[in-house]
Amino acid sequence: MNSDWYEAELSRRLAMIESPAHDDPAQADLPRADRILLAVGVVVVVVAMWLWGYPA
Amino acid sequence: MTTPQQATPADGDAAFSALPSLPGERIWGFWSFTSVNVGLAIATWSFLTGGTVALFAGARTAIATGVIGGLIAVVLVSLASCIPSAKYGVEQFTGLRSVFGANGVRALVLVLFPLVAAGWNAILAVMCGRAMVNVINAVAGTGFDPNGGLVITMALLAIVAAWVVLVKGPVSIEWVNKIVAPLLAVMSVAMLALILVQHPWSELAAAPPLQPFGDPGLDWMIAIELGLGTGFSWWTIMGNLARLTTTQRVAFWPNLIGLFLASLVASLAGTFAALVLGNADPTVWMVPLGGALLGVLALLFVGFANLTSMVGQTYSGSLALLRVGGRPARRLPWPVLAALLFLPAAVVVFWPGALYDNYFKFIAWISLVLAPLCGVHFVDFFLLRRRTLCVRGLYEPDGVSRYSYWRGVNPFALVAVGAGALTYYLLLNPLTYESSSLFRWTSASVPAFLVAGVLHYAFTRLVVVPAGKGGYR
Repeated sequence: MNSDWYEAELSRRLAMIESPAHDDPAQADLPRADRILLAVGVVVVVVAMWLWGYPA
Repeated sequence: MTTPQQATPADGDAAFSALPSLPGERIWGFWSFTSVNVGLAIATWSFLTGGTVALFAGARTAIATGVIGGLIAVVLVSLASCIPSAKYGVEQFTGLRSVFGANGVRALVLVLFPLVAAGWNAILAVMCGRAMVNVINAVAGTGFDPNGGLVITMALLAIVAAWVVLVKGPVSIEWVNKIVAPLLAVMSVAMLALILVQHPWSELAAAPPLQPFGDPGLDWMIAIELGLGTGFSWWTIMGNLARLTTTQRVAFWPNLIGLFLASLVASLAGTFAALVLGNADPTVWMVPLGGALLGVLALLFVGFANLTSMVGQTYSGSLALLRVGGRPARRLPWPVLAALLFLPAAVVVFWPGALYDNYFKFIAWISLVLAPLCGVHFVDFFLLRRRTLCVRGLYEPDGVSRYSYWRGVNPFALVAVGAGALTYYLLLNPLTYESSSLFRWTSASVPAFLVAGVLHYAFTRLVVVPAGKGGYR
């Protein structure tokens, strides 16, 4: 790894990321609806599978 | 982006993957990340996992436990590793500086990656060796031993071949996504179809597990634990991929399609094959299932697919070592570094059955380490840092960075991981596979995750924050 190149590139990127004009859609957190769907979905699927599959 | 001067094929990739990614470099939308995920999930070890589940579970139990274990682990791994990496565009082990400190992460990678690479490479090499020996047995009518000298020789040849490919450059990673993964997906579906045509569901559902403990409740939880362990095993690599996704949604949901669903389908193909053929070893199924010609072709393909998997995962490990290993790692000639990563596996294959036939114990060791790591990672990002990291701090030297600890190590996070691992060990001993009475109700991975996470939270609030370390607020 070329250290000089790496340091220069890292500085450039950090400056861009910290710039007020930096806009990255990935910064937006997972939407609330997704989080609710996930929590409910995991519980429902786990309980349903447990009831269906647990050996009698 | 201008490109760095490259001494080896890995140098440029190591430099690039160590940098925070910019929006224009986030190349994966929902379907492309789903495709990458499916390609990763459907590998030959899925068949081995499925075969191993058949030791303890029948078809119905295998479906239910595979869903429960796989879903819980993949959700936790995706939240802990993919969300922070996607949000800030940083590689997972760079992000983990905020948890363990710069030297703590260095130690973690230098210990974890060679051990994990040794285990997976040995298993894949032995599977490749057994596939080739079964081809010879089928074609020549011989009866070479699955643990004999020819399997060892073939496994060693597989390791040498993987090393040669890796030294020339990671071209095989392209092969995995373009050719090997789609063909393995076709093979999984074809296996399922063949089994279901030859054996109706009623017969399949009645097939008993191969070597159960005889206690249905315990066998049920062992099968869940296998699903949890397989799911947690993705923790080491997913963050590095998610940094290239466009949004956190894209970083999260495709994991449920690939790592969970696709992996489950391939694993169930393995379970059903093992149940109807009475053997957990995938290299034994192909000829009885597909006939002489198709079976031999399938075995040859399994051998080839294992080579590409060995190259792909060793390449990922070598990138991590190059990133954290400092000058000593970067000074090593590339062929020597690659050889060092393959060397432990080359020793292990001299005992072909030791790891391969005890795959469930290997998965338990993996989960003993990774479930607590995932717990600490999860609690740190979501609860202690409330989903906020300072990217610059992840790259500044220790002492300057807000993520500075004691000599670059957060010992309390490591103790929390150790306590989680001990919890796992007390609930399910990976050496003997003996379990405590609690295990049948709790599993081992979930308590290990919780204990490590709760302790990390407590240590941080009670010791680390008052000491002014780690940049917590």
